[in-house]
Amino acid sequence: MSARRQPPPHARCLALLGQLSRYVDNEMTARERRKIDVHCNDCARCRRMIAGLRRTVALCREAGPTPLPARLRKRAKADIARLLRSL
Amino acid sequence: MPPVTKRSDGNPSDEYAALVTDAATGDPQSLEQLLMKAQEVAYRFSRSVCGGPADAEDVMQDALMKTYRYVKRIHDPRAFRTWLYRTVRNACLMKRRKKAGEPDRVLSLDEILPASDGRVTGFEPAGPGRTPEAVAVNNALRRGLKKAFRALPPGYRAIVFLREMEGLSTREVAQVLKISEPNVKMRLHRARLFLRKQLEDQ
Repeated sequence: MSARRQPPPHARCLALLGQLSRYVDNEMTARERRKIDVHCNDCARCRRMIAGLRRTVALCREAGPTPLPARLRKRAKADIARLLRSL
Repeated sequence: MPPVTKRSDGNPSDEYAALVTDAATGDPQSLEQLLMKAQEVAYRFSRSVCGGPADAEDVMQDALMKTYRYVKRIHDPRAFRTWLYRTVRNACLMKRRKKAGEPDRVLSLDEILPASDGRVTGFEPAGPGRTPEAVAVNNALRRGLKKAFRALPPGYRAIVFLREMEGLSTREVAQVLKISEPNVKMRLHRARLFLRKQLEDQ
């Protein structure tokens, strides 16, 4: 028995793809949002796409700022002190 | 007694503006703090978006001197934050031009659309808790994101860095990069789709 292949991306899914950042950023009107919610009720692929996008955004935000390494922090402080002394 | 400036309720642009105002009126602690923040921003931008550690140190020096001069001729403290990121970005671009480094490019549809068989798999975190398994899965996701972020073309990397990692608003990102707000949103969306796909494929 051959493995069941998933169908190609539905045209409706591709049309919605361009709007999904606005959806996860809560920038849609209630009507626009409802259209996507209704589609997702029957579309596991789009539900997974939205969950993946949400997780991607969360990972980026969790990554947070890269701290200045101790050596560079020390040098930055020395440079500031030198600059202020030279005034 | 140090000058009293009304502090913001956590809005970074307002926090920078308060520091600039205090520094311009002669508060040495605010000036020191501002100069350190400028160098931290220069380091983060340079390391995340542009180049190697040697470049970052040069860009930090540039940010230090330019921030000092900015405070001396300040007109609009609220414009400081976007000015700082723009200044740091310009310094990075100059470095890159000199070295004819990584070319910028537009993300292709193949890089952002789901696979041609329509497959969309999940890459959910291991869930709450600090079990060794959950920590390992989440660490792997973070490593994956770092790798995917590095694979983004520089123009998109700058937008993800400014908007998602540094928390600038869409308007601020548009001002820093001198592009329209709709363009920022469109590029951010493509960059997110690219990162999602890379994480899914790992």
